[in-house]
Amino acid sequence: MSIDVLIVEDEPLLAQRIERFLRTSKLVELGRMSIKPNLPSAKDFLSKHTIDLLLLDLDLHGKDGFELLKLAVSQSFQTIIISAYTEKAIEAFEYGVLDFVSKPFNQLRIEKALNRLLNRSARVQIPLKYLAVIKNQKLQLVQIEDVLFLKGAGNYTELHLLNGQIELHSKSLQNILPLLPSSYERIHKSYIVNLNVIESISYQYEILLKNQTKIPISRTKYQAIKNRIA
Amino acid sequence: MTDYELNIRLAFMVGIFLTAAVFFLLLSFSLRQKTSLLWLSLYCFSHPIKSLFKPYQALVSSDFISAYQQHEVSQLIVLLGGFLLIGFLFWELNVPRKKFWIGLYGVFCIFAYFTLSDRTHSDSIIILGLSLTAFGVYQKKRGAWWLLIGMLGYTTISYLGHADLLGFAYFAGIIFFILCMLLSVGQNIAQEMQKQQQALLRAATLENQLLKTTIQPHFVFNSLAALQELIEQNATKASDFVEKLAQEFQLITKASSQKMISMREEIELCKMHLSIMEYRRNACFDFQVEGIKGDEKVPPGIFHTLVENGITHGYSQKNKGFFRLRKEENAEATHYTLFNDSDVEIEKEIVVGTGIRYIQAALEEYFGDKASLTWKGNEKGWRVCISIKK
Repeated sequence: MSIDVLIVEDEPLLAQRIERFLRTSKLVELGRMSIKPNLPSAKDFLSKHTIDLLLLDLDLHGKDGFELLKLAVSQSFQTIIISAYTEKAIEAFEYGVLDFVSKPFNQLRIEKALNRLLNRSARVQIPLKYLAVIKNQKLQLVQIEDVLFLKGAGNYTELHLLNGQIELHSKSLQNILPLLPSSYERIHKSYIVNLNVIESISYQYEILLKNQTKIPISRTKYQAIKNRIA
Repeated sequence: MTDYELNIRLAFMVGIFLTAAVFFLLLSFSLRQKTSLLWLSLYCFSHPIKSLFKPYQALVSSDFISAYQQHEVSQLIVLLGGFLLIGFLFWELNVPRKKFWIGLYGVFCIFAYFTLSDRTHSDSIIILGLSLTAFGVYQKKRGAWWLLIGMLGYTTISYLGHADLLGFAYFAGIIFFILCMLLSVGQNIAQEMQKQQQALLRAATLENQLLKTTIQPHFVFNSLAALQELIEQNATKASDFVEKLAQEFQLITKASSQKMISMREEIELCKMHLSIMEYRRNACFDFQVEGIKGDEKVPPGIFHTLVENGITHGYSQKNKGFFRLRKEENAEATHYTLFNDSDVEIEKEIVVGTGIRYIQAALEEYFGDKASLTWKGNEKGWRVCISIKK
């Protein structure tokens, strides 16, 4: 599978560096690679093209940086931050970035980030706190503990919340999984559930949640999940 | 009262005055510009000396000088004591033209010695002292209240003594006055120390702020990342870049320890930063200076911070930049204007970050409310103006 990448970096030397590391990496097959020096031009580019991965240099000092970060993570592609603001790394992870590469960096570190993109079963070490969704063209944050389960809906994911509401996230179920805390487990082709809210598992391959909702579980996952919550 | 008892008491009094005299003398040397304490110290010295010559106290043998001479010497020293007291008040209250007035008062004292009675003369000292301290209180001079309380106490106790209502009233009055002076001096020293500490703290905070804005972690990390890439692309260029970085850090270290630096140094700092950014951005930055002599003094790093802000927020798509620092002067104020042709979004509010906060704090520390910082953007670029009123 080839991946399309957008690099947003205002320092040409560093953009060249990232580009070179990606091109020489044997891990991925690169599709289209683009470099934009600033956010307006990146936004413009994204309105016309789809990408799989965004490598974003962000000034995370102040409110503006995080607004843009939220916007990025609400999109369908994965976001990796490459930044000199190392002290903001944990906060960035909480909003759902796939990785945070501190400057300065070497090829090995970029490869590690790419590995995260490819290895879909691995989870981000620092737990996510919020999922950013676009609702009525506005950015909203959903607290992760409010999400009971996630259901795949084509290229999108439905977030089923504690209060009965359903929010739509632009990422696919597959893309969202690596970002979730470890208590969220894939139990079915189209379902991810928070193991902490399971009431019981029935022999009819159904999970009963504490709020009495029933969701299906696949035969292959049945035993493993049963063991995990026992 | 026996002679022995009298002498013990006398020795005790003399001890108090000498201790106070030495104390004030030491303070007058250790505190800067404390001439007034020297006057006070001499005043304290005059009392034990006078006591030695009091006829009835017989500390100086009557074989040595006659009783009449003793009286004369003692009178002369009282006169001197009054002169020293008034001198102290002039200096402590910082009366305008104090040298002229003390000279005039000296002439009056000589005149008084020959014409006025002891009592009239000592009354004149008290009246003059009271008026001076009342004037000080009215003018809200520091410590004037202590002086007034001291003078009032001294006056009251002396008059009780004259009316034979209080024994040893003469000494008691002066001791009360000296006690008030000790309290006043103590309070002054405490205030001075507090002020000094606050000033030190402010200076340290400013230095810290300057270092924080000029050597921000993101600047260092971005520079290191650029250096990494340069090493692999072009080792010679990488070496030059390291040299420029080192030069900038040297300049910053030197500047940050100073309260004010010359515009010459400040401009050098700006140019050095731009040359580093030329490497990093693969760009060309031009820096022009107009109307600046070079020896003007400014708090360190304020224009450097503005240049840094300008680069960070406005040259992501350009590989050419233009900065102009201009000084204009008129009768009311000096204006420094930094213009740059950045492509920053005009409608966007400038984020008041560490940099701007440092500039505001530094300007306030050194110019008070005389300095102001304003900025404005248009389609041509950004213009930041620092005005310092005269």
